Amino acid sequence: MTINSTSSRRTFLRNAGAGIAAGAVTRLTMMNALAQTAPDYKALVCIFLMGGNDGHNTLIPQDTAGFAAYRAARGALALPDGNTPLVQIAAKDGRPFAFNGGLSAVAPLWGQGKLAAVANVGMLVQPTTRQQYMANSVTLPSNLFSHADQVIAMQAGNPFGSGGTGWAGRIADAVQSLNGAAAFPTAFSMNGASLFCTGNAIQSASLYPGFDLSLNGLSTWPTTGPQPRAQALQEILTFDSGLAMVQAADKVNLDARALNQMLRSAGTSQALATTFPGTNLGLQLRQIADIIKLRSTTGMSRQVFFASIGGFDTHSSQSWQHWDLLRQVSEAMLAFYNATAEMGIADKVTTFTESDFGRTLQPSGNGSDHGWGSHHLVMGGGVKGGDIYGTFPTLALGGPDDTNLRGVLIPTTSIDQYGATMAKWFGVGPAAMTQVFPNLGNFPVSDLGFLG
Amino acid sequence: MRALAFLWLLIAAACSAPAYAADITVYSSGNIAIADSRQLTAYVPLSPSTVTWAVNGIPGGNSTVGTVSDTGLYKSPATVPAANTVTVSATSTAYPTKSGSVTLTVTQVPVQLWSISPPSVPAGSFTIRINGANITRDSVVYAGDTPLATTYGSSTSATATGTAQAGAQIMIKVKNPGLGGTTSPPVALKVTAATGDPTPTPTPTPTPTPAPTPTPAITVTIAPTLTTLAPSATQQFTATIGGTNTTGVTYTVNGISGGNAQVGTITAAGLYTAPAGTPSAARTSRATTVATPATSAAATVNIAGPPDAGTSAGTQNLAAGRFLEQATFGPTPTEITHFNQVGIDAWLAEQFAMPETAIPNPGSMNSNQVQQQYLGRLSSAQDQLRQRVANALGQIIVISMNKNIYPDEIVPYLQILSRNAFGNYRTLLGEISTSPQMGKYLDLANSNKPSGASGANENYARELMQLFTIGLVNLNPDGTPVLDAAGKTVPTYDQATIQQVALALTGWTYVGPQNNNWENFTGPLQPKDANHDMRAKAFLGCNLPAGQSATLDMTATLDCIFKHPNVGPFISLRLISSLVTSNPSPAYVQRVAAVFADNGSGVRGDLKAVVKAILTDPDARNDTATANGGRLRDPIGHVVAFVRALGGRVSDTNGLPWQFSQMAQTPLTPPSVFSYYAPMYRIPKSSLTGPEFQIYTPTEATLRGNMFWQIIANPGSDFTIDLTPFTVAAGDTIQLIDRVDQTLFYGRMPQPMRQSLATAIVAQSGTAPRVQTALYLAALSGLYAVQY
Repeated sequence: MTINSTSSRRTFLRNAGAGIAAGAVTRLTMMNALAQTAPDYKALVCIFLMGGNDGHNTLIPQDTAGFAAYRAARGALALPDGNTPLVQIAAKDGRPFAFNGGLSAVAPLWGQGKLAAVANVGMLVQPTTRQQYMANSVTLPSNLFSHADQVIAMQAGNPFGSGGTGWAGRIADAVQSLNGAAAFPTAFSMNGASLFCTGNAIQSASLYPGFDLSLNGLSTWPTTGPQPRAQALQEILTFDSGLAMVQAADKVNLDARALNQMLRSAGTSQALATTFPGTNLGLQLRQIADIIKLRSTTGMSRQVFFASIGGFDTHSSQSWQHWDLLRQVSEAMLAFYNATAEMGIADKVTTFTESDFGRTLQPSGNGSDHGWGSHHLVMGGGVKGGDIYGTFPTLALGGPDDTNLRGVLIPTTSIDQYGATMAKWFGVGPAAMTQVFPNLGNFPVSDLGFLG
Repeated sequence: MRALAFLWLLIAAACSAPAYAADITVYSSGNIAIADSRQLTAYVPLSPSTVTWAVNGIPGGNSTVGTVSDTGLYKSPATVPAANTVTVSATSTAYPTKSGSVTLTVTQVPVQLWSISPPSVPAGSFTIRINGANITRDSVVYAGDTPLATTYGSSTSATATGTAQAGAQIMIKVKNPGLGGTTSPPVALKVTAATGDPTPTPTPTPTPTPAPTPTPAITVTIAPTLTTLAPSATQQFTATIGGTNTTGVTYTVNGISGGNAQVGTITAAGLYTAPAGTPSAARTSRATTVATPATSAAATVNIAGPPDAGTSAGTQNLAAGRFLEQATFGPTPTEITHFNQVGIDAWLAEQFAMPETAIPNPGSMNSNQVQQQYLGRLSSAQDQLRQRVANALGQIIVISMNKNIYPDEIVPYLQILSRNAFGNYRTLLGEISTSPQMGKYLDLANSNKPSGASGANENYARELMQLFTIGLVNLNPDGTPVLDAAGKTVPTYDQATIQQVALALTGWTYVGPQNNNWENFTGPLQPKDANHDMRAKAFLGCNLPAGQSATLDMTATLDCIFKHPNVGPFISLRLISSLVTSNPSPAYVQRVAAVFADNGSGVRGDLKAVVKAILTDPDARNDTATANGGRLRDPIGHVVAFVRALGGRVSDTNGLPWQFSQMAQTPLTPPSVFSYYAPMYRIPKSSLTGPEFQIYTPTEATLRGNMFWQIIANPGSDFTIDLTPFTVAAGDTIQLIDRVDQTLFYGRMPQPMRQSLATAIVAQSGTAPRVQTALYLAALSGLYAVQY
């Protein structure tokens, strides 16, 4: 075991407070510089596929040898099957691949260069080979293959547990100065307070699609009752109690009232024309689009968002379920892309998938078990799309990328590299990057190149 | 009282609506005592929204006028400046012409008046003794506006003599004269030996309407000509023109086209909106038609003054209320009465001796029922102190139902916390470390000595030190970090320490016949020396010899960690944060940590003594609010306290777990071992620690507000509450406010808040809306969100 990785986790925790203070000091200087440049906006949107998405049946090799290896390893799970056709695509170098037919809605963006795939991404402490894994000669992440732990680890960007913050929250910490003193939340989760969006200074602000932050006690009928209540509430929340904690609490409620007004306007006169699917994920992404639409009102320059969809733990009856889940993801992603295009900022918003882990190549019955590395999708106008990044693994049971004989593939790209590529595009500098991804230095490449 | 003011509405020529540009607003003006601080907030609707701060135009201020930090923290000077009203401004860095400011009046340390004895006097000459704070030899007691002969007693008392008329109630105040002098809030002195109505109702006396000055050819009339409006209420006026084809009119208020915020506004179409406050004086006006400017008509508007909000009925329950906020899940009316009868020491003794509320074994219970019953128990158990402390311990030594999803994977753990809440921390650590629930959550179960491809699991070893006992950096006895010569913190341990502790804790498995058994939650983890690493271990200055069994190594490891000097300050700080205040003074932490180190009988880790030290400390028992004191309630604590204050409880079959999950506090299900929020989380853009603020964002705050509304308007089967004390008082606005004030604020509701409540209450029709309005607004206030 090496000491390096865990001690850097502790260094990170210890230095976190100092990093924030330094950020505050430099804010004024940075804002003066920024004020002279054009307004700038960027957003990162995570779609977390809860349960462990089967990457092997999301992106499938179509070259003769690769497809034969895939069919041999996957057995009964091999696509196409009666439920799921394949959508043909190709990498920039001509290698033929196919998407699961569930992704047909978003697949055209591949041809338009707005959608890319990153192969075999997962949680790692450092580059790891089959030989090293078998000999236990490198440090491995804790509790691989456990949902509860890997959902935390992948959101935290921390192979040993949570550390209390998520990597998007730390990214938001790092770019806090770009948002100046704007009071609007920076990090929004559509799934309750998420670890992913929690920084050392940044809070994970929640939004629930369809809930516009209206206070029930201010919307009773007739309005002669709630109107005086609303007036009194405004007075109560703004008068000077002289107590710092009290005023900080009142400030949160005042922000809520302001946000309520903005969301109501976003939902009515300024509503987006793009139609979203009525699925849960569709509603989440529409809510995110509504918030992005408010950027000029709120003055925010950088925001991160967390959306999620469950059901990917496909231990049995995988075929149709998986197709249907990917269909929901695909339709919601396409609508979201179209909404960003409608707003003229398709190249300012990058959307990507994450998951607990991948799944075994080898089926168990008509499902699959918990794996490790998995393929992921990145979408946006800033993405150098139509290509596959990272190293596509060898699909063979007991092969060079397998931990054992079941096709639990060792990731060839770490979540740190995946996240750092987006963090760099987002404006995180090299110094802050080591705090966002403490283990990034263990890997040879910190920018996978899929963003311009 | 019903104050009256008089406005004139006029019809006259030409007005234009003012345009309001976005500008900076700074909160909040007011008084500030010397050597005090106030966090100012700039609302900046500009992008970018950064500002620079100045005092009287001096960037950052200085020691004479006070200083202001980059983040708006104003610190007043040590002495009252010659010009004691200072202006603190925030100027946009991007748009230097845009700025906003507040004026702060620097005062002496404010004089306080807490009580008068006797509280009532017979008519005629009287002598009273006043009790308060910051009384000086220059202090003068006033009866109304009349100074009384005053004799200084001490900084907390004085006597005064005067004469009272029968049937009156005199408002007594204390003034400290001189530059930056202050006046205390008044306290009523009742005068007996006669009865009388203390609040005579004034008769509205409208100012006579001046006669319009019509010309024979052109006439103008306005309707209605006399009306009474509440502040901010509206009235549509209609003007009728005769004798000319030029029918255009414009409206003025008191001669001001379109009116203004002071006298009320009127639109070109005649819609008048009364000012928000009471106008200070009556005004006159004129009206004119466009064609013949001498022609006008006038209407009179009486603006009803704000309703009488009364003043606080006293803070006689403050000591009990504050104590019970810290020691329980919130005071109930019954508990306040009881506490006032027995006092702190007896109350604590009762609670320490009280039988533990049983936590039922899960049996066939499902996970949701475990959460429901937990909420029910917090709200209704008699052993409230145990509930509160066990809950605080559970936020330090964390397990979560997101991994331990079945009832038998959590309930026995709750029983351990409850059983040991007043026990010894070392005993608690022992039970936790061998609990199969924790063994699953942090992977100690089946952590074997290294062999071949697998090593000892380090998860529990790491969190045991980082979160449950000593933390990451060496601490002074007062909880502040030890700094080395370079000013840097000193790590408590390194990766080698974690590895050594992990080896020492190998060889524990679930109940069963094998050396590694499947999950089994029927009893503590069992030692299996076959899987225990028998080598010698060294960590944290302790040496474990080779050949020790799993049991001996476990004991030695926990003994070693427990004796680390960090444990006292580390655990004391967390418990104080959970019970009393987010920003305790180092001295407070040190006093409690000293009790952790030695309970007076040479015992280390006595939680009963620690809890008593926390709750009886002078810092905890200081009932005078301090600017940076208190802690934000967490969602469950906030809601349960409100329900208990209303004499109620959460039912054992409530549907609340899901609602709390949306407020970022799924019962018994923190997202990770770092719990729901970080202990050292800073309030955004502040220097203060406020852990609970990490899960208090606009959505969570609104959802809490909606749950308050549910509690008072639609409790359903989730809550049982008793609103009788409020409904019987609902007809009397002052009495209703007093009930709310006494119940939720123990007499501390500030006067402006009483006034806001009164205005909102009188606008409601019916008992239920009046009660709901009063309670709802109080519950939404930061003064209730924060335990201070």
